[in-house]
Amino acid sequence: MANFINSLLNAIALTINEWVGSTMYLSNENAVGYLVAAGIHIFLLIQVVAVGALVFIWMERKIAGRIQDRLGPTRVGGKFGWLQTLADGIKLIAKEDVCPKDADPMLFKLAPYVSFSAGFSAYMLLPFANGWVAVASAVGAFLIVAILGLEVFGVILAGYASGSKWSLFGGMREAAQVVSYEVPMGMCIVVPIMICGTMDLVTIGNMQAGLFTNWLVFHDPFTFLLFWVYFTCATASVNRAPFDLAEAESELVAGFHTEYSGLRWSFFFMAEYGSMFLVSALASILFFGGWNGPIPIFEASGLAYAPGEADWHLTGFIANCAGVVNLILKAVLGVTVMMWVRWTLPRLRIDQVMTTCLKYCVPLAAFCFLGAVGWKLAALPSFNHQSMKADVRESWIYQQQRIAAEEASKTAPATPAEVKPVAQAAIATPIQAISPVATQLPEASVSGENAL
Amino acid sequence: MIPLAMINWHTFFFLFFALITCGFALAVLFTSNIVRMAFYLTLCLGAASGLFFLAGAEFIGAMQFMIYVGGTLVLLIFGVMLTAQQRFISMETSASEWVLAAIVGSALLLLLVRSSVAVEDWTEPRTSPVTLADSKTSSPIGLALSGIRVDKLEEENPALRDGMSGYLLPFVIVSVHLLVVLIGAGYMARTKRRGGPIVASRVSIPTTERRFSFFEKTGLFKGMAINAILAVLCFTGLASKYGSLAEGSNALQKGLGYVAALPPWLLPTLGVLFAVNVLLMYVVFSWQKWGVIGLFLVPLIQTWCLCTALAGYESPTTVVVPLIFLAVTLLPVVMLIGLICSGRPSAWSRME
Repeated sequence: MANFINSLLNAIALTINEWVGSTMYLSNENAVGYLVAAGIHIFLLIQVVAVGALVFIWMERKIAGRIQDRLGPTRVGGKFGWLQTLADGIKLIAKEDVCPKDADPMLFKLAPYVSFSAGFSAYMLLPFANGWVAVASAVGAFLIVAILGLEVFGVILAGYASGSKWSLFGGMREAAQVVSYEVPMGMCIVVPIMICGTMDLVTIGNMQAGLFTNWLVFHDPFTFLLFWVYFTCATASVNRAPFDLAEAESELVAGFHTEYSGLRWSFFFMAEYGSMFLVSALASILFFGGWNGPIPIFEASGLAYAPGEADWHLTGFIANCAGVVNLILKAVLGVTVMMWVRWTLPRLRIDQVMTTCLKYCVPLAAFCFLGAVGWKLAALPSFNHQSMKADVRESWIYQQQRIAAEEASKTAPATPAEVKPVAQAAIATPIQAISPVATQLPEASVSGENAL
Repeated sequence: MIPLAMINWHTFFFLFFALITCGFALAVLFTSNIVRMAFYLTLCLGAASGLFFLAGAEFIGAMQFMIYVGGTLVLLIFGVMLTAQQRFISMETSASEWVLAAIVGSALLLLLVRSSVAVEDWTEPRTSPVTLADSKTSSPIGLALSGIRVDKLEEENPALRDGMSGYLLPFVIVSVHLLVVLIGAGYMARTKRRGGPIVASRVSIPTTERRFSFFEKTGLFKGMAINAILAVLCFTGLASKYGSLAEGSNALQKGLGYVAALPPWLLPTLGVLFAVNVLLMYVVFSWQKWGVIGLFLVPLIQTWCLCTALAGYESPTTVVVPLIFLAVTLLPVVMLIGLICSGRPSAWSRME
């Protein structure tokens, strides 16, 4: 995106040059483009979190109402109570921001932001469509899990700093719960990574393109089972009922946020709904094909971007927009299921929470992990057809390809079209070089060293 | 626009993260509240991972996040909140502690500075700019951990190429080590909660009253010495057989030569005996009287092994070494039997 903005700015500068007669020039690596691109990314992602929270809170009220055989909000903002959350927000802003006498004031005030910023930072690594990701990282899946794990930090700080025993209990429960549930959740995330052979979320999504049978949840029976384990652990790790021990309003008043009011309190809720959406989106990328619809209309008609394609074209843009809609729909479906579960099941006791994790989720995840590894190792048949996978490569190879092409065009600017295929051919070999078959290594060694 | 273009953004962000890291590290030092310390430590470590990202080492940065920022700090806070008494919540460090910490800290700092200056590649600025492709290191790292060094495929030196098998062994060792720690932690926690039936049923004598007699000390010393010898033999043997100890003093060479001349089945046998010895300790501890048989048998087997192994040499060692070995190993057993027969309290009765 930075390159695009820079080239746009450069085009504007050149036009001005023609009119005024100045000599302005902006290179593609200019800081302006990067700053503007970062600003746009942050703006869009904040919209996802904030507007998402607005919609989800309204949705939660409606779903809770329907499940409890009542209507939910009906009056604010028209027929369905659309603006109920906005009214709530205004109420929250108007509330007094209280800090208890026994609290540690600095930590008490910082804790909501810690929670929120951890949940928000993870969005930076979440791809919304083929190539549409704020930070395209080769270790995206791993980094998302690492950052999401920090969210508990804010809750623990809030529990400690409030100077209240209810908060402290809530914080301790949350710490115990999240630390335990990270284990099976990590195991579940490892399996799609293992099947795809990359931690790059964009690549994982692209590898599931095609018919819905390509989705990893249908890869083999173990991944199908694994998705449910993942979803359970994700529900627990974002602290939702029936695992909302940290809040437990019937036992602990309001748990870790007992002492909070006003805007700081709402930050905790933004963080919670933000991470609900995040883990659901992650589930849809890892197991449900991400931005790929059930029927590949755009891919089949050749309108979509090829994986890793850098050039802009309108049909690809439209296909990506459809991909975003796909991903958001899937994620919202996940969030809806979480709400459905919340208003259906009673809260577990702390020992039951731990039992669910250690005696059911961990062994199940381990069993599925072994099963999926065995399935892959024995090359048993699966719905994913392999022809798609040959085209998909890790992002760093694309990056290398792009840089090699750029360098080639720099050295020989007159004939860029002839140099490009050579660069691609040189890049194609590392695929063999990195495939873990030792016998292939000597042949690939020469080009492998160049590329790596 | 021009000022933005003129800033060196790499340097800017490096300074930014470095300042955050150092600033919060100092804040950790000068805070007395331990939970605030933990919070500052998080920011400090997080900024350090920012430095890694800036350097293009995404995988290391993510690891820093996962292990240090995430895992360690959550556990730290856990520990602090579960165990901290009032004295630790707001710590007051005495002058002597400051002096001690200053000495240790400055020594470590000197070591770090020295070692960072010692690397010649780091003393001059890197001429070629870091490209983005350099940063995609996760796949090579992953492959290196599973045994393939894709970055060293063109290594010419055959001795070095043998070492190019990646980091599979260290990786496995570390993971097994962590697993053992995990199981141990769980075991300890469970034992404590039950009131310690496992420990209490066997050793009922309070720690203060427990005194080892001369014979017990001898026995313990003997066990440790034999096992140490076995371990050393195993490792030197393995090292001389499979390792590449090309250089070394003459005496070492000679010794290794002797070890290399040993028959091939000896080392595995010694390894098994080592395991048997460990098992024996457990047997003696749990079913005391049966241990006598083991105490007899194992030295006999060891002596037999040594005799057969040394049969090839023409020196007096052939006879003398096994005999000395036998005498030393059997001595404590004889003493123990004497103790049992004379009716004086033995180690076992005291344990019981």
